[in-house]
Amino acid sequence: MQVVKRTAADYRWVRPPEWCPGCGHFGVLQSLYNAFAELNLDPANVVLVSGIGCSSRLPHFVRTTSVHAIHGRAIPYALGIKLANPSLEVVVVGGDGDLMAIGGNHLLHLGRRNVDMTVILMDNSVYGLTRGQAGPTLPAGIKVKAVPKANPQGEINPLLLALTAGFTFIARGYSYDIKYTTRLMVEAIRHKGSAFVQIYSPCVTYNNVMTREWYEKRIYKLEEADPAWDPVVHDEREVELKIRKALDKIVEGDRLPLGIFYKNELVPTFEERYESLYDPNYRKLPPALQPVEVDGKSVVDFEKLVADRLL
Amino acid sequence: MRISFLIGGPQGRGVETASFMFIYGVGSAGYYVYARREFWSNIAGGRHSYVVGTISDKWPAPAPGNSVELALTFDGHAVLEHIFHLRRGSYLVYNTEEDSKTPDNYPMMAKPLAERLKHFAKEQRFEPTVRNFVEYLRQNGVEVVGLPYNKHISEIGRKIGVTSPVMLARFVNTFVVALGAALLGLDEEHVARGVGFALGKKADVIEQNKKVAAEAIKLVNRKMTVLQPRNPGVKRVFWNGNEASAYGKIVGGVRLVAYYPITPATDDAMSFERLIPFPIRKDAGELAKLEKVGAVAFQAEDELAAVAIATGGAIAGARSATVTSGPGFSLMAEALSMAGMMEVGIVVTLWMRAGPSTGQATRQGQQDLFFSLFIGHGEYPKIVYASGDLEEVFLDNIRVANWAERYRVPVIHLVDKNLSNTFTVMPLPDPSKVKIETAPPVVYPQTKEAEAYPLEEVVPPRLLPGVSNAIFHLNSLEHDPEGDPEEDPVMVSRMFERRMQKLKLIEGEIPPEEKVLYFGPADARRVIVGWGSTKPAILTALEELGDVGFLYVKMMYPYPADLVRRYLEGRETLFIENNYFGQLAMITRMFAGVEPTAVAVKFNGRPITTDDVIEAYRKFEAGQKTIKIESDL
Repeated sequence: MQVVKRTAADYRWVRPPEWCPGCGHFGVLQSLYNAFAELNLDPANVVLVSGIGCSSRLPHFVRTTSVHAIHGRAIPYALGIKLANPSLEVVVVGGDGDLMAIGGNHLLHLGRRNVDMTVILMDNSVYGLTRGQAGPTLPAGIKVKAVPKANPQGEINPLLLALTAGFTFIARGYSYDIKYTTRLMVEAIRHKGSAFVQIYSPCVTYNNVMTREWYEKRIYKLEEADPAWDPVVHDEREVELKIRKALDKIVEGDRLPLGIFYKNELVPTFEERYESLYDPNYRKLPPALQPVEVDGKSVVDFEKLVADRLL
Repeated sequence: MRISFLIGGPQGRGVETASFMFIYGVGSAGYYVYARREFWSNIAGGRHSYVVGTISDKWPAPAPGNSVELALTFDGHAVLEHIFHLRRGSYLVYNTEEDSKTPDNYPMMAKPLAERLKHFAKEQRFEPTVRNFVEYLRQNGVEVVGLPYNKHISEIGRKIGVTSPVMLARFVNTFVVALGAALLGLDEEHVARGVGFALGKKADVIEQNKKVAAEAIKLVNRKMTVLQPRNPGVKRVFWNGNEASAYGKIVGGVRLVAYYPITPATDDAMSFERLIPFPIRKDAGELAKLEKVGAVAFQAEDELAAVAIATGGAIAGARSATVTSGPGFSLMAEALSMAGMMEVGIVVTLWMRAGPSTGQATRQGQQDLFFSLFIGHGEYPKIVYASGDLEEVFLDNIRVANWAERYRVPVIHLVDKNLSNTFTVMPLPDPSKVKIETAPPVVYPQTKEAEAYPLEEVVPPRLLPGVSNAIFHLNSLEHDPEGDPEEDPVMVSRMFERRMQKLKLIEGEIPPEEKVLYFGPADARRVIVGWGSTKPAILTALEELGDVGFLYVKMMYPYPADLVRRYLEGRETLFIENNYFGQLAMITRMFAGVEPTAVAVKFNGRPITTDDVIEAYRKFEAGQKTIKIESDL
């Protein structure tokens, strides 16, 4: 078979992105193109799933299969797709409102399942599409342009939540650093298990506080600050230590570390667990790929299925 | 031949096990059984629960009425619960050790019932003891078999060498069932078969219980009938409605079920899960080599996720379903609208229960017809289809899975608590009565961008990620053929119409006999109209009512207006429903323009019985337009 080497341009869809000039999301999009190209993913085998919001429009600018679903539910739609056909590369993109507020419960539960898929949070701390309300990652006391007063609600730390939920890959990037974000995305997609990547992606229209300048004063890279930084769990005995180390960095507030905080591939994925508990052929012949009838008759032997109930 | 029965006692103390023993035991003698379970939505048990049903040598067995011929009770509480469900000639089996108790001695009895009983005793001028109520029954022609249960069980225990109180307590089920078997002329062998089914197949346990049964049978020197063992000549199955639904899904090719636990739907998903992996027919081509195939049963974090996971499964190409009840269904509204817009075919098996709100989780209601028809914002095509008995629950599961895939719309399959907790020994349905019709996916020789929503197709080509070699966009926003957001009014209008044309396609393709069924004389002047699980009661009543028709509606949306009009125009109609509004009557008026003559409704959490139908019909004949049914069995 001919091996095709794809470039970032191969993942560009026909329509140009519709975001405000200078929006952080452009960097996320470019990083995703780059990551897909680096991984040489078959665009017909990738399913990009999103909910609702500025960031959730992203799949319309990407030449892969995609599902632009309803607000907050990108993760369960993606989960259903992955469960039915685990050979697909499933990636969720969404904003902090979509993934952390209305969809927060789903994020929480994806982590503990460790299904082999990737969630990319495009975090700008505001609701751009509905004109600038406070997002769930906006710290208390910050007043953004469109709202009358400072935020009376506290913020969620997405990485802290992801770590607690059980995600086995946790990373943070910055959208204007495309090269670095690309690397994180490649690692996240490659990771075996549920991966979570937070990307600071400033909103140039509505978040007049957490701007490019604001971020660039605070961000730094974990491995640059500490060349010995190693977030990978190499041995099960290291789990607690690596979680503590990740935690230490995740809760930093004055400065904002970027990089991979935690990575543990020793945890079995949901697919592996399901295979061993329910169906040894699960990944070979998953629900989406099974023939269910021959000449209109069910492939299932009904009388055998119901044998213990027959009299 | 028909015998109606009930088995009642404190919930969670073996009533259900005893019922399984009884039903299976009677079934093992070659009879059919149609029964239903009534129980409280409570935590620790102890409330009164019962199984009521009929035994018959024919199928369908008649549906029960408001009284039974045989009542097997575990305690005095059960006797008091069913005082008004016995009639002249009925048999009551009860424990005389409870004789001196009164309603006040049963803290788990519903207070309003205790008050009604005490009031009744006062009117009858007796103290409200179990003994006095039983005496009242005896005076009114009820045959009473009263025995001191524990005394006899201890004696039997001594005879067969069992003295531990824990072990003896386990014999109560067998003891009570055996007393019933004795009255029906069945021997200990059939009780033992029931024990074997209900308690597992351990030979020593069965042998011990067989001895208990033999001794208990000797205690009864009367017989209400003799059920001669017979050969029914067909394979029969013992199952309940939740299970029939799960079997239907499996046979119908459903390979992904996502759910969040809720009564009375969970057992549908749990049964599906229990049966993974599924055995494959030897003649099933390539697949037969595997012997078994798997599926995914997935417990979600909530119903918002459950419906989305099922939709995701369908997007990937698996026949997918979610199962739920009213409260969970409420959470699914937005996602169903999306499935309509995105054109993903999913099945929602909706096990209706008595609402509103949390309502009565374990009780019967048909209150969600309106909601099913109109769930979800905006306008989009969908199918709403109702089943009325266990064979239908099984076969309709295959149908709705076909339709979801064929039309790529959400399909809401209406079933209810009554069906979920109906237990039958019935002929094994033939799955080949419904052909499995799949829509094979498009597969391009080389990867290409494809239109997910071409304007010229009413149902778009079936594109599957990873299978079709297609790059395509699915969208919950209004979109162009490529699936990208579009608000151009000309395009919106064309795309909207294209989606809605599915309704015409559905109406045209699904044959009339799958939409409505008509029973009774073709020229009957009066017609009963009903839907869902009231079917067996209405059909049973029809035999007694004679010159009356029964229009049974299955297809709720798109509503078969022409068909219904054809059957109902120029006739007097009585709609009978398990809800307050008479929802079928209202949608019939709305869609078919037929004005109902009378509406009979029951909304007390109990199903409509054969007697309810007969009584409602008599009132209808007498000219009553609005009939409220309040019976309580």
